[in-house]
Parts: sequence; C-alpha cells; structure tokens
Amino acid sequence: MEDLFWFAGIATCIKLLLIPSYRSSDFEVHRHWLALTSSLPLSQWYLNETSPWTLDYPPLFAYFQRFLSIFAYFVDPKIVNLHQGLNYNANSVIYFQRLSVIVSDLCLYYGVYRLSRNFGVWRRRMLLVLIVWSPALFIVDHMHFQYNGFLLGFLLISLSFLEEGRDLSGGFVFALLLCLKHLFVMAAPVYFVYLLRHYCRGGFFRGFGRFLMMGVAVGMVFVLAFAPFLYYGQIEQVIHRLFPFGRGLCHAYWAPNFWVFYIIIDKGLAFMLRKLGLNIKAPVASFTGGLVGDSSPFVVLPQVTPLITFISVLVALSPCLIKAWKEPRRELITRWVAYAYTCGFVFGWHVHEKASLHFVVPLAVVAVQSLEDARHYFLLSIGFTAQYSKVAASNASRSIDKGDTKITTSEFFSKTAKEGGAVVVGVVEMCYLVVLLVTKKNEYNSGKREEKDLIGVLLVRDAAETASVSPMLSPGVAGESGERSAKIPVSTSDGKNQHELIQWHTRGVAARALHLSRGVEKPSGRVTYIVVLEGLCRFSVQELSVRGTYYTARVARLDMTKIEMEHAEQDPDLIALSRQFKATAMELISVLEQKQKTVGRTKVLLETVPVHRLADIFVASFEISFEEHLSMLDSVDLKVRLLKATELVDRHLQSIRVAEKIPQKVEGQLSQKEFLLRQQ
Amino acid sequence: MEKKRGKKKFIKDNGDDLWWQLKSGKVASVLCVSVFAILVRVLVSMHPYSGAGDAPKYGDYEAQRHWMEITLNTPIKEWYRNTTSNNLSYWGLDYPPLTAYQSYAHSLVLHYFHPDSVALYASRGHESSLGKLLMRWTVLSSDMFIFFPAAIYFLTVYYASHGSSSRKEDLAWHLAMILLNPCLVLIDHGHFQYNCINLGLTVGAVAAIFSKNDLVACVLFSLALNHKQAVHVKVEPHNRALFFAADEFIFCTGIFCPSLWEVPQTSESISQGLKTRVGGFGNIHCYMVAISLFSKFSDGGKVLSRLAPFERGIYEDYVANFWCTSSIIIKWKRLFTTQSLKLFSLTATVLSALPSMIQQIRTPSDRGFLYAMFNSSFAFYLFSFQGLLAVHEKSILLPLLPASLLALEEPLLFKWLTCFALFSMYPLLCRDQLMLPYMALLVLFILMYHSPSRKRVSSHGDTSSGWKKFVMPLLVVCSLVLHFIYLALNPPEKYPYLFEAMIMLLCSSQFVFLAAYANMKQWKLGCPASIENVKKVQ
Repeated sequence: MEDLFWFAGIATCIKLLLIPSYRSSDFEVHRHWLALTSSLPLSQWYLNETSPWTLDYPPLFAYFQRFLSIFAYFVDPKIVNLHQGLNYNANSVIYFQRLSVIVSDLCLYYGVYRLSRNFGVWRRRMLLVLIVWSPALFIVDHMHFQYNGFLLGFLLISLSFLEEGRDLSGGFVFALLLCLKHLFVMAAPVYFVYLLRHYCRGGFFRGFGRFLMMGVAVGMVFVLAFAPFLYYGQIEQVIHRLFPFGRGLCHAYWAPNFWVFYIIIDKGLAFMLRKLGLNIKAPVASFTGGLVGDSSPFVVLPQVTPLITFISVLVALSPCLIKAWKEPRRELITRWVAYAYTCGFVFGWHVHEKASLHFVVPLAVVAVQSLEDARHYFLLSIGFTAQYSKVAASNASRSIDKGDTKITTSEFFSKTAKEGGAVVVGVVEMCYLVVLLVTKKNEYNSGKREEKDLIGVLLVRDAAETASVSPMLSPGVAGESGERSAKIPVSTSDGKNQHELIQWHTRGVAARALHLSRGVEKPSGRVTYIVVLEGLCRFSVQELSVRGTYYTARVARLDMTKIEMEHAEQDPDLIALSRQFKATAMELISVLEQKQKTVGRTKVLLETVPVHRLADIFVASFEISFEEHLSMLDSVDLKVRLLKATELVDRHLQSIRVAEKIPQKVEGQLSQKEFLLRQQ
Repeated sequence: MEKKRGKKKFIKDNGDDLWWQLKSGKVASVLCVSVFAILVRVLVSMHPYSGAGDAPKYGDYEAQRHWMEITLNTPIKEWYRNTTSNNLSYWGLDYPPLTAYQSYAHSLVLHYFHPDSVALYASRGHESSLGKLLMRWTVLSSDMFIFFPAAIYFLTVYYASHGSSSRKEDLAWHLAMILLNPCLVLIDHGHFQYNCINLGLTVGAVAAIFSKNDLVACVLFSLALNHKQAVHVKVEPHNRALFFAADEFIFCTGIFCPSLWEVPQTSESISQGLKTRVGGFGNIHCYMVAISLFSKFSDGGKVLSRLAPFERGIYEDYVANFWCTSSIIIKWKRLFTTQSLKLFSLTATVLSALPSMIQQIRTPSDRGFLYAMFNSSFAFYLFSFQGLLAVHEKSILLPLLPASLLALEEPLLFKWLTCFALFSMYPLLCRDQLMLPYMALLVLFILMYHSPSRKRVSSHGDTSSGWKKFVMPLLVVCSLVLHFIYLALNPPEKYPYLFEAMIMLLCSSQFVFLAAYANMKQWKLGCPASIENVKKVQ
C-alpha cells in the first residue's frame, strides 16, 4: 500500500507537469460530450450532431460524462455550453479535464492494488512500475487525452476478481467495462468460455443455476445502461454509432496490424499489374480517412468485410478458447485476456492504434509472472532475501524508469505526439522486454567475465572433507543458472591440484550473487569477500566432469514447480504442519523482539513468504552444525523439511528460554544474600 | 574537458573502487536518475518563463535573450559599454565575462535556427514558440553538459572516499537529491536563468578538491566566479560563487599552512604546499586573463563598474535575509547613510562567516569544507549588502548547493532548507505563473526524499525529540496556511506587501536557525580531530 502511494504520487506529479502539454482533438471530443450530456435530454444524446465529434461510446460512459459535467458547470459554465463551448480552450477547461483524468486514474491504482496485494515486494514494485509509470498511459491519457487509465482500471479489477476465484464479481465488472467502452469486447469470448467452464460447473442443475445467476448479473448491467435508449426506440441508432462499419478497415492512423500487409500487397499488385498492361483502376482511395463514412475498395485482392475480420479474430482466438474450455485455470486468465486483445488488435476492423494499450497493460501483469517463469525457479531463500528484494526492485524499477523517461522525452519534445502512436506503444513494449533482458543479461554477463563477482551455482562440498570451509560462501565459484537444462560449470576456490580430493555433495542450490563487498584485508595479503546470495532452487547432481578449469555438472531440479506446490498446499497434513511451524516461529520472534527491536522485518517475512521458504530462511540463520544444515538441504520433501525446521526452531526457543532463566535465578540468589546481610 | 582530466586522474588513483562501482550496477542507477531528472526539467520547461508577455521590460528570459543579441551583433569591446547599438539601460550586460561568452555561444545556435530571435533592435521583446524552445534547449543542454557531469563526478569522488561500504541506493538517492532539487529546476527551467553553469562549475571544483586536484579545482572555481559576478560584485542574480570565494581561499591556506608548521617531513606535504600555491596563482591568473581580455578592448574599470553598482541600497524587494527582516523594526535605510550601511553589512558578513573559516584553517577536512561552504554562503546570504552582493531570493540556491552535497549526512537539514528556500521563492514563482510546477516539484521532492528503498536505512537516524515533534509540524502548517493565504486573499491596502513580509519572516527565521545549527555542527565536527592533532604534536 505504501509502495502504491509512492509510485502513484510520483506519477501524479509527472501528470500535473504534463497539463500544459500538447492535446489532440480527443480533448475537444470529450469536452463536447460534457456539454452534450449536460445540456440535452437523454433521448437526444445519440442523435445530436452539433459537432462532428458525435457520441460514440456506450451509455455508461455517457453517464460518466454527465456526472463529470456537474462539476464542470461549477468550474466554468461555458465548458458545458453546447454551442458557445465549441473549441473552448481556456485554462479552466484544460485544468478541469486534465484533472478529471488524473483523478479517474484512481480506478487504475485500485486495480493494480488488488492485483498486486498478494505479491512479494519485488514483484509488486515491478508491477507498479510497469502499469502506474507506464509511458504509454502517460502519453495517451495525459497528453493525447483519453480516459484509458480509468477503463483499464476496470479491466484489472475484473481480472483480479477472476484470479481470486470470485467469478461472479469478475463477470459483473467486465460487463460494466463493456458498457463503458465497447472496444473491450474482444475479450468477451474468452470471458464467456472461461466463466462457462470455471464458474458454471458441478453438475447440470447447479451449473445451470450459476449460469442464470451470471446471466442476471451481467444482464442487469446491460439493461441499466441501455434501457433508456431501448425505451426511446433508439437502440439501432446507438448500435450504429458504436460500431461504425462504414468507417474504413483502417483508422486514420494505421494500427500496425495484419491488414497493413494486406493493403500493401494489394497496392503493390495493382501497381505491377498495371505496368504489365492490364487495365486496372488506379488505386485512388486513401485508407487513412478518419471520419465516419470513409471506406475504400481493394483493387486486386478480395474485399475485406467486417464479417471476415470477425471470423479471423475468432480463428486466431480459437487455440486459447479451446485451452480455456478444456482447462479453465484462473491463474491463466490474465494471459488469455491479453492474448485476446492482441488478436483483436491484429485482425480487428478499424482498429485504433491506441487499442494496443488494451493488451500492453494486462501483459504487464503476465510479464511479472513470466519473469519468474523465465527464471524457472521460485525464490528459495537460503541467505537473507529481504535485502535482495529491495535491491532487485530498485534496480529493476530504475531501469524501467529509464525506458519510460526516454520515450516520454523524445515523444514529448518532438511535439508530434499525434495520436498516442501505435509505434510508440510498440516501442514501449519492446523497451520493457529489452530492459528486462538487459537487466538479466547484465547479471549473467558480469558473472561470466569476472568470476570474482558472481556466484551462479554452488555445490555444497561433502561434509567430511571440508567441514572447515563454510559451504555456503565459498568465493570464486562462478556459474550460470540461466537455462532450464543448463549445464552448470563449477569451480573451486582452492587450486587445481586439490580437485581430486574434493568430494562433491550430490545436492546443491542454484544461487545468485546479490551483493559482493570487500571485507578486511588480512596481513597475509588475502582479501576476504562477503557475498550475499539468493538461493533459487535445489538441485541434484547427475553427472560431474572437469572441463578446463571449471567443473561442469548436469543437474536436475528437485523443488516442486509452482503448480505442484499449489496442489501440495491443499494437503491437510501440510497445512497443520505449517501452522505449527508458524506458531513456533512466531513465538521465537516475539521472544527475540524483547531483546532487540530489529526483528520487525522478520515478522513481515512471516506473513508474506510461503512457508516452505520460511523454513529455509529460519534454519539458514541459526548457528547449527554443518551436518544439520546439510540434512536440511537434503530434505526435499516439504513435510520432512517443515518437521525438521519446527524442531530446530523449537530447540532454539528452548535454549533462549533457558538462558533467560539463569540470570533470573542468579538475581534471586542475590536478593537472598542481601536479605541475609541485612539480617546480620 | 576539466572533467575528463579529473576522471582520468581518478581512475589512476582509485581504479579498484571504480571497477567495483561499475560492477555493482551503480552506473545503471546513476543513468536512470539522470534521465529522470532530464525528463522533469523538460516538463518544467513547458511552463511559462519569467515576464512572458509582459511588455515592455519582460523578465530574465528577455535579459538573457538580449545579451545573446548584443554579443552576437556588436564587437567585443562594446559589450559592456553604452553605445548606439547597446543601450545599457535596457537589460545591459551586467554579468562577468564568462556569461558574455556563453551568451555569444548560445546566440550562434539561435542565429542558426531562428535568426529573427537574435536580430539587433528588431528582436527586443521577441517571443515565439520556436524561440522559447531554442532558449529552453540552451539551458537544458548547459545543465546536461555541466551540472550533471559535475554532480556525478562529485558523487564518484565522494563515495570513493567513503569506501565500498556505500550502498547503491544511497548513491542514487543522493544524486536524485542533487539533481531534482526543486529550487534549481524551477529557477533555471521555469523562471529562466543559467545557474546550472556556475553551480555546476562550483560542484566540479569541490569534487576536484576532494580528489586532490587542486589546480583543476582552482580553474573550475575561477570559471564559476567568472560566470556570475565574483569580485565584480554587482546586481541582479549577482554572483553566487563569490560566496564561496573567500571560503575556497581559506581552505587552500588551511591545507597549506599546516604543512608549513609541521615542518615538511615528507616530500608529499611539500608538493602539496607547492600545488596549493600554484593553484592560488592559477586562480588569480585565470581571473586576470578574463579581465585583461576586456581591458585590452576597453578599460577594465568599465567592466567592474558594470558589475558592482551600489545604487541599489541595502535591500530590495522582500528577501528573507537579516537586513530585510529586521527592517520591519529598524528602518535601516532611513537611519543610516549608504556608506555606513555598507560598513555594517561588511562587518556582519565577515563576523558571521569567520567562525567556520577559522575552523577550516585549524582543521581542514573534506566534510568540514562542505559545512564551511554552507555556513559562509549562508552568512553572505543573510548579511551582505544588496547592492554589493546582490542578494535576492534566487541567491538561496547558493547555500542550498553545499546543503544538497551534504544531504546524506544531514538529510533533515537539507529537506528543511529546501522546503523553506522554495517557499521563499513562492511570491516570485507566483508572479511567473509557475504555481503548478511549484506544487508538483515540491511533492515530487518530498516523495523522492522518502523513497521506499531509502526509508529503512534512515528511519532510526531521525530520532526526533518531543520539542522537534511539536514545532516542526507547526511550522509546516504555518507555511501551508501562508501558501493558501497568499493565493486566495488580497492584502489590505495599507500594507500591500504584508503577505510577502510574513513569508519572508518565517523563512528567514528558519534560515537563521539552520545557519546556527550548521555552524555548531561544524565546530563539533572539528573537535575530535583537533584533539587528535594536539596528541600527535605531543
């Protein structure tokens, strides 16, 4: 929550600074709608043609504009004057409209908050950066002028409901969204299939009942929105306004989609055939007319009708729909929705370049998860994770911030901000990916170049052999944990001649160096380094061979995957065990807290980090024998691990208690002595 | 160029540390913060400049543009003279020569892209969107090429001396504090001035001193001096760098003297002494070069008199300094002649700057130097003569600079000073219609100050006493109320400047308090060191 405030605060400052910047004709469009909805009765809303910018959003958005116009009237009555207000551009209207966008972005923040509240610190900040600081939203909403943040907020809220399993609310919010802006309809098939299979299950009757319930919820929204127009008998007019198929295949500013290629091929063919002497009508019509009524025929290739685009969207969607039908899993819904919007963007009829926002933003949610996928591993912490998350988050956030600012600056200064710019958004998206890659690459590259610096993977040496050397922190071991099946080179800090002596433990941990600092230089000239590692995953060594100066090992992953973990979490035994562990751990913390006040951070960990990882963290921080550490590492099974951890924590707790009792006893004795002395 | 030289030297000295800084991703975070700072500057520069559309005199924007026009179209010897083509009463050039050269360089750019905006006579009061864009770019580019590298150079040196224990977050935070200082951004990119150049040169000089490149430091510093009135004391945005001048000198002698006293045991201390001496000469020499260039063409006296007019009186407008504040009770202007006032202010300034200078002479140290810089510039801000040292609200940038360099050690002082410095500029910025960026940047600054990654580190540092807990919110509330009153209410006719006076009173009380605190701190800083010194001697 605190993070959210901070990120949103920074974003708001930037938005405020953007107030006097360039604004497109959409600014006047929205101002006109304010005037239209406030000065005309409901029955005239979809008929009026005072300005070329007729109302072409669904009714709920019109109601929203009506709501805003109440305040607009207080700010400056001229804003809502249908005729005098045309092209009005005084400061009052600029400030009012800009501020209305900034305030309505609260909706977006709420959506992000809902989505990210169960995330760890690192992922949450990542998501906040990607969405709250999204340069695409800055440009389109706060320069070009639209309410995308507000609308996407609804989408995110809906998705967060679905991810939580509250399908009814999710469907309801999505229906609201559809009535606010109909272009979000591209995801409707996915929603439909998913809700049908996920929500309406459990036998025919129960399923049917739920289907009805969903139908009522969604239908209610639509009725609420459209009923007045149904009453006035204008429903056809409304539909016509919402879906102006008379407009061309492409928007005034081409969206970079499939049809661009189609048009280019058509033009090229026409040109060539004419050169060959065929009598073909020269391509005259431009495809770039933005207003209603423009459409242009293809010369050579078959005409594209709305129906064809509709079918091609459905075809493109089908793999995702089939998947959703077969296996409706709630953690995948965001991904599917993002995919659906991409399909709509690529194959849709008269797509606005701004529509790319619809998939860029949900994709950000996926990206945060797939980043983890890309890492292949859970965060399994053996060292202290808390520090890591901070470092990584700030690092990542700043890198992305860089991308953000660059684009915004260049875009802004060229002052050709045009219409949001699909190209820009494309670049934005690319930028995220590139930046993420760069951040990762840097980490790995630096590891390759300087083995001093990065500890990729550690194999723990056999206890009997090198019990004296701290197993977790042997410097100079370089490796790569990049690929899933990657071969993992390992080297040792000791010289080559000792290689033969070393017996490798068969299990190890993939880890990454987070922080390396130079420690004390000893008189002998040897320098100690302090390395902070983040453990990623346990593995077992299958094959070990020497190649060059490094060892190379083939390893297999031992820890459970995310899905397995979810299954395991529902095991009652495990739940009982983890409860017990948490209770003991809590007790230990509260005992420690009385002694020193810095334990607060650990307490936070207890609430946020998954229990299996907690067990590792706790055990790692105890001063116990090497063998015990090793046995903990070896216990791959969750239950065994938890049992062991509970036992260790308990032991620690007892020892603290005993230690506390001794001074108390001494005190007691002392007072006795005093008593005796006084008596004498 | 100086910067490069400094860097090279630095690499030689601290190659290992630099390697480590590259490794740990500090470069990336520095880059990100810088780019973000540029974005903020760009956004601010969209807003109006001072005197926009306000004929016939316009504001600082027109002054700078006019200088470009003059330097481009008249021969160099006429720049500071009243001639037919150069009417000195209309924004005559009254900054030191380096500013004139800089104006000339910028005028070439403007002339190339938009000749109309710098045409002689015809361009007076020229306002166009292209002209504004170009002018804004000149500030932005000077900021990017002088202030940014200087700040980064400073931090590299500063953190290298702190060892590898420094955290990446701290570095990034500190850089953000220096670069995103709302006062500097608003004055340079909103109001329109080129403070970034002389402040940047000063920061570079400080960094050079820290990395023991005394010669480079002297050159940079005299360049800064030459950019805004130094010894050529004068009016208007008068030279800021002079505030540091005395200080710098003291620092140099401070290093020099001990090496004499201790009877140079090592060759190192001798060379140190020599270097300083050479540096001192370099300083004077540079200065001479700049002046002599002019004395060739015109008489140097002309330049000096342009730069140091005393006719302005002891204070002007409402500046949150001592004279102005106390004039509410004592009418200085009525009671004394200008001559005696000059004497008063000189004594007061020297007296108030003296303690910190003495401290630096006795125990020169890097940190102490920053404190001394802060203290002496504050002394000048608070006590110097309006005509002599041209103090006005923008001069607060000068004490603010060392404070921002000290931000990591004195976060609370820095925050407090920044907020009130910004507040003291509030009437000026209101006049310039920069309310919106004012608010946005203030909030941005406070958010940056409390950045999540920073918080956990410093939270235990600010253990505030009950007294502080009570007074600080009270002051914040006071200033917020004043903000509101100034905007919303009209002052009574009898006292048209009532609200300005109130703002000034509040700010100057804070400034005096902060200056006293910093002086104390500096002396405390020196104590243990001096004891050690005594022990060594024994």
